[in-house]
Amino acid sequence: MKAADGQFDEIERCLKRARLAEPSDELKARIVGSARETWGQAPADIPWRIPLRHLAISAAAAVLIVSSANYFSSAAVAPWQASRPVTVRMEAARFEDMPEMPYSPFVRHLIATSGAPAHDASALLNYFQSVRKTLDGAEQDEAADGSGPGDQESRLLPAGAKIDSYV
Amino acid sequence: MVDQPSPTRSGPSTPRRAARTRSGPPARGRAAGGERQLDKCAAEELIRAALRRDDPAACELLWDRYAGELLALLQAVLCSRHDAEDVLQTIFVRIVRKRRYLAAARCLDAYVYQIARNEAASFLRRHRRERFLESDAQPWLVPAEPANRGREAAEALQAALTQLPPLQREIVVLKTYQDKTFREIGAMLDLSLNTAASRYRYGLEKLRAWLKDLEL
Repeated sequence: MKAADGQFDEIERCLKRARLAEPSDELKARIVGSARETWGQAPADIPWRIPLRHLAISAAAAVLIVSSANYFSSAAVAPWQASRPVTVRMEAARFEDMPEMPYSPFVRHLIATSGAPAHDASALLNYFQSVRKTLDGAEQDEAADGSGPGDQESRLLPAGAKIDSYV
Repeated sequence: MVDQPSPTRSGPSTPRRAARTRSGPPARGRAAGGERQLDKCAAEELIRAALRRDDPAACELLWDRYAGELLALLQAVLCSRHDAEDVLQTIFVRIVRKRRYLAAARCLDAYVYQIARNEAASFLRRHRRERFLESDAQPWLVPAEPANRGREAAEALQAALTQLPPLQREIVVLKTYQDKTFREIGAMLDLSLNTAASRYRYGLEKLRAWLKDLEL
């Protein structure tokens, strides 16, 4: 590329009236001697070792940082730490505490009885009987209205079946 | 040891040889440039071979190939011959320490110039304060002809170049006193060709304005 296109000829000629100082022989002897001395002393860096060294330094630094963070964190919360393990006890919600729930009597009954243990046969029988009573109460209400089945018939159990046969 | 050819003859860019390649008629300019490029490649191959053999003679080869160019670059950056020589020594020591990287480098020139730029920047950071306080008594620009008037001109030119912004000064110095092409300067300083050319132009415009009244 012709940079100046003639317009800088004069200033370029002017600049050429000087020149840069060249490296002297003394400088060469000094620098080459120093370089040779370094060559003899220091083993050259081997390229593949450099990333490994960086990796090892990074890993060591990471372990140090995490360990010190854990240590100082433990030390900082030590005064407030509980002496014995904390236990949490949860109780089933009581139906009386939820008067505003907009459910029908049957659902309210189910909610009320859901917390009762039913691990043995007698408990299960009692549970079914209470359900049946609730249902019977509901049927009687419907019979009084004239829209439900007969007095002795259940909607859930087949005719003639007894609740004892399911236990 | 490197046996063939001798280190003193292998350097393509020693100032004397560069001057000889430049001194031909214009018609031979392209041929001279090609010859210079060929010499450069040959020198690079020799340096690589010596580095692969872990041969300390690579120090001389590196000196012959790079000392002139690096010293010019450093003088342009630092505006001080003494500092430039110190930094040049640091650069050579660093190159020797990293010689395996250098042997494996795809572009030898780029690697060496990168080290030189880093070292110069590091030196400027370290010595910023002292450099403002003390001036270098040793001139880094010397008269081309040994006349009394030539010395005055060299001093005036050095003072004007020192006032230029560093990025422009480096390019003006390399182009004017090392006869580098903009492509070579771009490779040395990691710049595009157009950036190098425009900075050179801006630098010369400022110099022309400053030196107009001096009747050099």
